[in-house]
Amino acid sequence: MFNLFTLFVSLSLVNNIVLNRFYAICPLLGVSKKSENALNMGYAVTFVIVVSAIITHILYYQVLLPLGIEYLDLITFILVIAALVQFVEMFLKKTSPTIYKAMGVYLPLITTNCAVLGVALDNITAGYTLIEAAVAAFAVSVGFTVVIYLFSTIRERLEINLVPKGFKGIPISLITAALMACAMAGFAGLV
Amino acid sequence: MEACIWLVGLLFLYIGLYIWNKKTPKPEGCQNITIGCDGCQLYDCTHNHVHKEGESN
Repeated sequence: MFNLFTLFVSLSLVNNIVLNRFYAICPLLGVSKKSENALNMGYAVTFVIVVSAIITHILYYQVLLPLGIEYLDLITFILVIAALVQFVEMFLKKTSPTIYKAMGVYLPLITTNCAVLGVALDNITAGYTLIEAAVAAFAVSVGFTVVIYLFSTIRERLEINLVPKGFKGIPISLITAALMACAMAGFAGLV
Repeated sequence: MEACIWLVGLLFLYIGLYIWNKKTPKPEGCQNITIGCDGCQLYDCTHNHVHKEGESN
């Protein structure tokens, strides 16, 4: 149990997927102008990362390894994640218009999100069990959601502040992200 | 041989789900929801806001 807690803290704070490993920079910059959008993106990413991590883990150990085709893990995971996103989008369209309204629009963006694929591959590389893989995926998603939400609140404040012309938009956002990464480095050595 | 069957199966699964998803109508009030990602200047990307503006015109 303590190992799972350590894993959670390690992956959500110390080895944050965005600020420490530089995955998912695209949604960090693209969907962080409004905090509401950022939060909805975080929810959608959390759902897809956790479900895809569980499915890819099961597929790797129950199908790819027994068949001796584990070298196909990358292309398998890409196709499984893309198919999963299509299925989830369709499922939400049919069953829950409210959730679709909040989350559905972000799902196509997640198909090309490297964090989802990165987590699936990292779980296999690290040799996690199914439970550990699920906890790791959840921890990574929480880390992503926290960072993108904090980043969006800072960007909202930057919008109403005076910023030199050359720094407006993406440049000041990247500087902000760099400062956040420095702050996050303070967690190093926590676990 | 197993590898080919596995890959073809996955491809068909993805294509099938993609077509099924596209044919499923969006719920009421969700037809025109777009977020227009502006994270980069890659205009080839279909999520770029340029495409969203083009669709609405």
